[in-house]
Amino acid sequence: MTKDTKKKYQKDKKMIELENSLSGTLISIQPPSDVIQRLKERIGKLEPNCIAKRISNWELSIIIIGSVMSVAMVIFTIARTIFYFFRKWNRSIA
Amino acid sequence: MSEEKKKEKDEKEILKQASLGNEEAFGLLYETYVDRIFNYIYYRTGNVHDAEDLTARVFQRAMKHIPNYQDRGVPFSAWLYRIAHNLVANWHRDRSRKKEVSITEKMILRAKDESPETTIIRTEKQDALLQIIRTLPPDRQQLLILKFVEGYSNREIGEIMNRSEGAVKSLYHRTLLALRDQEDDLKVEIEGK
Repeated sequence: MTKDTKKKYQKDKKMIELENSLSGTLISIQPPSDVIQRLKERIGKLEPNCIAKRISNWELSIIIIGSVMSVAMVIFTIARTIFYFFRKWNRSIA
Repeated sequence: MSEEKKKEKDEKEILKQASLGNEEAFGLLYETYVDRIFNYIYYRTGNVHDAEDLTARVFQRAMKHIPNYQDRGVPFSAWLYRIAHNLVANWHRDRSRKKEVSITEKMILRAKDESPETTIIRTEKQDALLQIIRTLPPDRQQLLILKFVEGYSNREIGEIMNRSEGAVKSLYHRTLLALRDQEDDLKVEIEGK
């Protein structure tokens, strides 16, 4: 074995050793179950500023206002219809 | 259809649902990736508390921006890792400090499918190497974590890091050389004392 080959062989051996220690050191960790639980809770809850941001979205605001007004109109129309029939029924009795 | 392609198709469907605001679909994505993101952040920050906080922020940010997510042919994990990478970079910049793993934290954590005792001995033995890894530039740390912790191939790492397979290979080789030199320096320092 020449001097250069021996040096290269030693270097390669060192690299393999290093790779082995890396695979022993950088191991996949199981996050503690309480951490996972807390994470789930944090992600599940939308933060208030997140909700505020959603409301500040103008497209969403138009949809919300439109929906509220439509529902109000439907309720108003139903109430008027009931009132109309109720009056008609009262008159027929009288 | 191969198992991998089927998985990919399923994930695309889940992603589509999640981007339409389906919380259940986002929950599935969370279940799939939370361990990997936690691991990545833990090795980059060195403590459980910050890893927990940053992992939550990664998923909160992902949930907020998922309606704008565009499939560019790279895995979804690449997007999550990028968010995590940016948050960790901000964390280092804000605090300009690198905390070491405390003994109590070592005891809480254990490797997947291993008894706690095995892990404690292991971490104590290889603490020095972890410290050296944390002094490396962020892209090199990311490469080592993806390679050894997650077991990704060079091609997959390239997709995540937005580099070619050759570039990843070359960066890996340079990282090993740098680690070897730093390890030697450390040995000389210890012997000198």
